[in-house]
Amino acid sequence: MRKWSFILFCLTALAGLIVLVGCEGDTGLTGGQGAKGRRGTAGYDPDQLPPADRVFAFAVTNATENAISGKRQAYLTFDSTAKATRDTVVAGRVSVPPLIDGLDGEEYEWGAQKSKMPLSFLNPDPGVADCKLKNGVVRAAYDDDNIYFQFQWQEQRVAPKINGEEVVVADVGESKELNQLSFFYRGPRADGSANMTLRRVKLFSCQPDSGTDTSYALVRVTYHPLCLYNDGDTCGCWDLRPTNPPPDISYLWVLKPGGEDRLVVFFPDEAATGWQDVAFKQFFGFTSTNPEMPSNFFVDVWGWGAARTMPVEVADDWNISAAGAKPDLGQAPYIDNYIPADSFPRYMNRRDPNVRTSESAAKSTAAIYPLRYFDAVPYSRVGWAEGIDSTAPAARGLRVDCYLPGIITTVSSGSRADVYTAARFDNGVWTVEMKRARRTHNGDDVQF
Amino acid sequence: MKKLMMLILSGLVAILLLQVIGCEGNAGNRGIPGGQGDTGDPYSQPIPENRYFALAVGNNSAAAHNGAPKLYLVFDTLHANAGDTVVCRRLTGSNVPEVDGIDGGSAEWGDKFTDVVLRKAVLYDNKINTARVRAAYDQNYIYFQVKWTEVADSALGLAVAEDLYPTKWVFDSLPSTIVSGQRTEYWSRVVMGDEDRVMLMFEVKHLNWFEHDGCLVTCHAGTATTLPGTNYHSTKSAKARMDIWSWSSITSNPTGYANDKYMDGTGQIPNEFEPLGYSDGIKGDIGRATSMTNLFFVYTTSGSTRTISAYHPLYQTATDPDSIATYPLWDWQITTYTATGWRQGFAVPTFVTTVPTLSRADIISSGKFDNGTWTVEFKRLRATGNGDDTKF
Repeated sequence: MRKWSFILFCLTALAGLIVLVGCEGDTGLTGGQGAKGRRGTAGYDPDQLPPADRVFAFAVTNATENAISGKRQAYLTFDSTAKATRDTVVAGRVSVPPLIDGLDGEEYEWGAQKSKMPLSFLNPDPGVADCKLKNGVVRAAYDDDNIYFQFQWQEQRVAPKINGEEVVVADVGESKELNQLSFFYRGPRADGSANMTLRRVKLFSCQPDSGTDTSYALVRVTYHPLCLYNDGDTCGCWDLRPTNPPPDISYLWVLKPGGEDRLVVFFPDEAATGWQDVAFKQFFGFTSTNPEMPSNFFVDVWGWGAARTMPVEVADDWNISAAGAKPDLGQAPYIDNYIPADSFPRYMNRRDPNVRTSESAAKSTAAIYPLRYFDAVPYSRVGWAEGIDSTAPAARGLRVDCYLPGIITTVSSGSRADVYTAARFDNGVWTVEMKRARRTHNGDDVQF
Repeated sequence: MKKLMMLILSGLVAILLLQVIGCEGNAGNRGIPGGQGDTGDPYSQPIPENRYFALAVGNNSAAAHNGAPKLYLVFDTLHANAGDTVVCRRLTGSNVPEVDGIDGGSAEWGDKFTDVVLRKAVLYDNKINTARVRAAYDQNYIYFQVKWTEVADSALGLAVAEDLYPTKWVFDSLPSTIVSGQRTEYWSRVVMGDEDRVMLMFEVKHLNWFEHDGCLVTCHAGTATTLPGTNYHSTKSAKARMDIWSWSSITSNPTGYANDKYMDGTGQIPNEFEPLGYSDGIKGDIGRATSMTNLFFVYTTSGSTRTISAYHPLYQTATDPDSIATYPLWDWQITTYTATGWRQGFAVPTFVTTVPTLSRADIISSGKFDNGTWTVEFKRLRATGNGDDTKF
């Protein structure tokens, strides 16, 4: 037994010695070359990925420049599993783009998702009446290259009674005659003296009695280089004094108050809190708000107007940045047809004067709106219709009112013409449809 | 012996122990990495699907245009150009056909073409019985070339000519032409023809039986609402839609664009510039057209009848009256019409040429007339993103 124990001990000791002092085995052979990598995955079109979700806002008007209704914030998602709500617009991918024609193609063109959005009154300025636009509907769709929107809203007559009399705040109609210039002949008084009105000319008159009203004159005035301010300084002003020669009071054009029906859509680059206040103030000129504008503020603005843009079937593409609201690069779809300093239009229809006023309503075949650039000729004061009694209401037929459009329709271009738009007005409801490239490659646009 | 066995056993046990607990040698060096895998396929637009389309060719006559109502446009390699099949060749590299109306032949288009048989499509046969059609596409664009030779027919008044004067206003001071109580202007609208034309038609949204009868399913398929008893071009279903690429020798060719239109079944559209007061189911894509009508008329309406009391051009050239204006009359050349100073026989175009915009300007096109043969070429984005255009 001792013998076996000794042998076992020796073996263990031998093993221990071998472990401690034995040599390591040789290094193995170098491995063979690895197998060739797998073939890369096929390329893909990044356009086929859905755009990123974003927020937006939109505003609508009814024949006014300052009574704004709309939606302060809506969420635009491209997630097909989401459900459209009053705050969320779900854009679906389409294989055949919706027809941009202003006719509601409904589910067949736009898919089943539809957001019914109650419209709220957005103007913070006191004293501005709500036009009570209602029944807002927004649809959206996209494909590889473009994004599409459809907006609908309904107009209604708003005519509250004030002191027993109905005051029309808003009415139902297309309202595409923006800032129509009107004119009627103011003949001399019965004694032959000039029927001149000195009121309401402060901007262009040195007259101390010109009052405080800053709207434009009711008379055609003559520039007088020697006109002086009260303190004796010379000024570039209009002298209305009945001196020799007397001011020409025969032809003067005033802007008819009111505006067009509009839809303005705002897409912020980043939806910082309160971005709408900045955007609305910058674009619509609200005076009651004074929001702070962040330095990196950027909002893309698509402005559609029944007069300004509808005839050329584009929206007017603007942007708002720290520098304020400005149009995108390119030609506008219209030009203003008014020279305020002269109270004159720039252009008239080729067949003016009296293209409309000389014809009865039944014969008024030539609509003034839109007055396109190739139909416009420089304004001439000669030959306009005159009434028998310029002081009588036009409705009595004794006074003839002449009209010219406040804008001339041109062809827009460049980044300003990025947004195709078509619209129809049907039974009080506007349907406005828009299409824009998801990537315009213009720095003045947001990209989808 | 026993001792020897013990020693052997001990040795074996020692070897076993060495095997069990002895150190392994180091691993060999890492082998050389394998080669890089092949690059994946680059992204490319899917190959367009084969589809039916239609072709119509006119020689200065609306009453006589011939066509191929149903042609098959294929993008695969399984078909050959033959009969009614047009193979659209995939372009590789940077060479694309130049859309200039000049036949670049196989150098531009490859050696494939189809001589399509044309047949009478409306009242009369204009005797143009064949047209050569080529097609090609690349990543972004699709191209077509249509080439045909005109045939004279004295009976129909058809001549082999580049027809550039379809209609005109002619000043006519002869009292005998004035119908008392109807006309207060002395102008006659003289129809010289209907230009030379070619039209390509594609489905945007499915037209029932288009794959059977081609564009014939849209001929006079509308049910008139404005004027009972008449009908018009229309799809039978309001939801169906057909894209129309309309090239014409004078109202579109000078602009470098085809007039992009579409047809659906939504009915007649009121149009105050049409003498009948409406247009049919063919509508212009969104945007400004390649021309506008130079027409002014005053009318009264009684029921469905219009009585025109004044009828004359809306525009004239700056040198009028006292010249004979010719096509094209561009919008920057026009001035307002004046009713005085005209002499008998002087004429003014009935269309004013304009530069198209938006979706109306999707199709770049050019045609050239050479020794009796028209070569008209088209180029358009495969996907314009407009609902009034087909997508390839």
